[in-house]
Amino acid sequence: MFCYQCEQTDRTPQPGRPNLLSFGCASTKGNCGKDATTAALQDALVEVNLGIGQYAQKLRELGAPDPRFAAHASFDLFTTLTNVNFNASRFMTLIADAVGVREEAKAAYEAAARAAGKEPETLTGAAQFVPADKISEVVAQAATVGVDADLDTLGADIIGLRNLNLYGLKGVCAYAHHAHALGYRSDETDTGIENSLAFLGAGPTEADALLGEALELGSVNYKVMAMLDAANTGSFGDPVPTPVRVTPVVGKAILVSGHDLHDLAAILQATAGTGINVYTHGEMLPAHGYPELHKHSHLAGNYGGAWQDQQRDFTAFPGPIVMTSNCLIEPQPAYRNRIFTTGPVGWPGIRHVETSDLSLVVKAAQSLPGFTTEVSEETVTTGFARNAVLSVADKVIDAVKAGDIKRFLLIGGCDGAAPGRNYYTDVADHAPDDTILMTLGCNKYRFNDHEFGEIGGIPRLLDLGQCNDSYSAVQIALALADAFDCGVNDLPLSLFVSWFEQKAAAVLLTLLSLGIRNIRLGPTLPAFLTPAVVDILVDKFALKPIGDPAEDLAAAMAGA
Amino acid sequence: MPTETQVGYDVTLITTDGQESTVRCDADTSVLAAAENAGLVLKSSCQAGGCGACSAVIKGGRVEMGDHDPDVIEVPEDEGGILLCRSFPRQDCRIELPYASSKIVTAPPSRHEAEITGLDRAADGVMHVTLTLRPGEDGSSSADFESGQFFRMMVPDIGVRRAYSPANVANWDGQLEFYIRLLPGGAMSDYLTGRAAVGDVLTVMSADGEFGLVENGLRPRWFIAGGTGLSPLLSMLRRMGEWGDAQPARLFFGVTRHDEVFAQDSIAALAESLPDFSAETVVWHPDPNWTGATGNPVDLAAAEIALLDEMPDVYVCGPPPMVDAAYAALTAAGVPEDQIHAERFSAVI
Repeated sequence: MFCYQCEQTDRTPQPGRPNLLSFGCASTKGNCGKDATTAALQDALVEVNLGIGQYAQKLRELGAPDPRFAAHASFDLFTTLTNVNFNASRFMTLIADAVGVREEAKAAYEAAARAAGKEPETLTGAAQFVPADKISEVVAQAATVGVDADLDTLGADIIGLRNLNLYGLKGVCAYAHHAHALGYRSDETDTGIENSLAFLGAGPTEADALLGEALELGSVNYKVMAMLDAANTGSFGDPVPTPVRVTPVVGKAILVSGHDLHDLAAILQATAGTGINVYTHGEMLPAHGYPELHKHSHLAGNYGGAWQDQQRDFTAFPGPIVMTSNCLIEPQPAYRNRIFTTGPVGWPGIRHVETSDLSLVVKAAQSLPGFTTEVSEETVTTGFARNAVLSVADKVIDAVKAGDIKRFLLIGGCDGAAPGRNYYTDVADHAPDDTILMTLGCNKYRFNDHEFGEIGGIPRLLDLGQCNDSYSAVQIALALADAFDCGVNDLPLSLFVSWFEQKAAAVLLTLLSLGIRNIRLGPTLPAFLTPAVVDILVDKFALKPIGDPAEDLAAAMAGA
Repeated sequence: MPTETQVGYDVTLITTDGQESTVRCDADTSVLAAAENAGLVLKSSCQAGGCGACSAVIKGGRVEMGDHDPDVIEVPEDEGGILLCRSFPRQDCRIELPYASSKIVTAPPSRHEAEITGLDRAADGVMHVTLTLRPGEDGSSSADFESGQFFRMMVPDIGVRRAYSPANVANWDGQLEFYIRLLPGGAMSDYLTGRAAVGDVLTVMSADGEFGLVENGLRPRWFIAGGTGLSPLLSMLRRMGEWGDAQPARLFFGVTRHDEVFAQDSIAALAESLPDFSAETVVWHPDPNWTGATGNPVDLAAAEIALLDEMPDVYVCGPPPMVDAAYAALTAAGVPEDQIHAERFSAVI
């Protein structure tokens, strides 16, 4: 296998590796737990979906767009994100289904072309990929469609730029799927997804074009995240600052992890009146800020820490667990029979349920012991999304003008198990008292229970939400820039971004596409960014790898 | 059981990853029981010297072996092979376990009360028993196990334990369904045929055992069952159906006589939940009324496997001679040994 899509990819120098790429998981199993077969099948599934995009783009150009194709690709690419789906047999089914959808797209395109009096083009590249029937043969085919295919002829820089696009697109698709699940879509985002799929499907080889498309993809992601913001707030209301209980209450319990608010809402509805309490885990914590979710009195609190601690947290949790998106890691025997996956998530031997029928999850919760000991209440606060922050914009602006707030530090992104992520805790803990810390994503768990105090009634720690809520952060930055009549890069704002998987890659491209400079990115730079590509990003956007937290903090406070 | 004075010995257990644990064991306690008392639950099954699941190798010191079947020990006894359930120390010992420390369960097995809610004869010599777990101290009433695992249960009034694999899948109704072979003079058999009644309450230990589906296996799955060895295989097949596994599956179920055939309705029902499934019940010594296949399931499966391009994963459960025959026939037919997953169930009186 070869995969280097996430931050935890194998970075052991292997000079003898017959591969020009310096780093990457290249043995029988990746560091995430994905085996070589699954990795190969995921690459094949992506390739078929690129072909769907090629036909869908042509169809749209003929004035007959079909939203099913972007929706299908969004779901399929979501399954290939890090820590989402490890079930090889599921991928064989998904590949077969995707081939069927690609055939539909092809037929629709050819019919539309003929109806317009044109001879249909014969598309090349991914559109021509025919997956074999047998798994062993599909795995063999992955050598020609894998993320390192054509490496020998194109070189690591081009392959890296292709994968910057591909991984960014995976993140875009994941965000889009969350919005689609809530019934939101737009022609603009469908077009962006189709174009990116088609671009990659055609096998691009020019560095400038690849970099340009990556930034364009960042713009697409901005629109997708706006759509997701609209989907979340339209479905569940604008988040409001909300204290969230982080200690359990006595009673039967279900734990909901991942990012999908639609699935959480379905679980809350399915458990209403049953006496079962629902707890959020990991990236689901910000759900408590949404009025239409918070109104459920049995949304009892948040349990556990960030995703990498799940084996400990899930073992201790006395009820069923529902995993609605990343990050899933190998379920332990202690909870294998009481963890369920939904949507794009999967693990061999773990029950997969549809949110239309959650009876099994409810039955599990009723059978399992639940919490039996009363624990005193402790809380953290979430829900400082854009409207909550901007509702006190005057106060914030006055505090900045009065010199009470010197700087905003956005400490956002994913958490992970690898060493080096204490950097973010150090930055938060040692940030001067006249700074506002804004968090999003799950790396907040490293310090969100620390005491940071207030500035003029404004909490110093403002949790904006999930990584999905990066749009909210951008909106806050744009509003502040407007208020101060300056550009975002001129604001007293520093970004400390922690990345782990492909949604973070999409957000990074969005920030770059908005022209935001001086982002500090860590704990390591993506392995798919080759030194030459990093040089370009440093040159154009002053992208910085994280360094010593004290030095970085001092530099940030000085505006660098 | 050996009888010596209550002298304690230090027994050091060494796993394949080099971890050492020392437990104190007196001369009248098996090493397996001493380890469990010390909070280390080692691999085992029948706990009566009949299955070989607790095979280990003694590298220093001495144990005395109680009654056991010497053929089931994985390493010959003259090379240090022992069964931990039948090993009583006579000196401080060093014993090598054939697995890594991660396979040792450190939580003590929990005990559950289970009420007999179904009791009927499934066939000649086979009892169909349904238990319903009562909520435990923690309030849980779920039947939590991996398909292929077994439960040990106490035979009422006698205090001996016997191990049986359920035929159903993990569930939250607390249901455990067993097909139990009746043995003349057997402790559980005498209870089930003589004293047992619906409403009786048994003590059941938490699930144990390594036999189970290779969850990430993508090859077709073939199952070969001898007699009540069908039980864990039925559980695996039902699990495949309930979990939506896509692998093609085939079942070969063999019994000796026509009147020993059971669970035909359950096997037929599998076809509805598995997209690509077929089953063959085969009788070794058929009577004139038997219209199905004759012979033994191992030969039948091996003959078909020999014609295949792609070797399946094969799951085998039955008496030790059948499992041994399966290994021989399947490897001869081309199935790599690491694709054969077997559980021997032994007839423990």
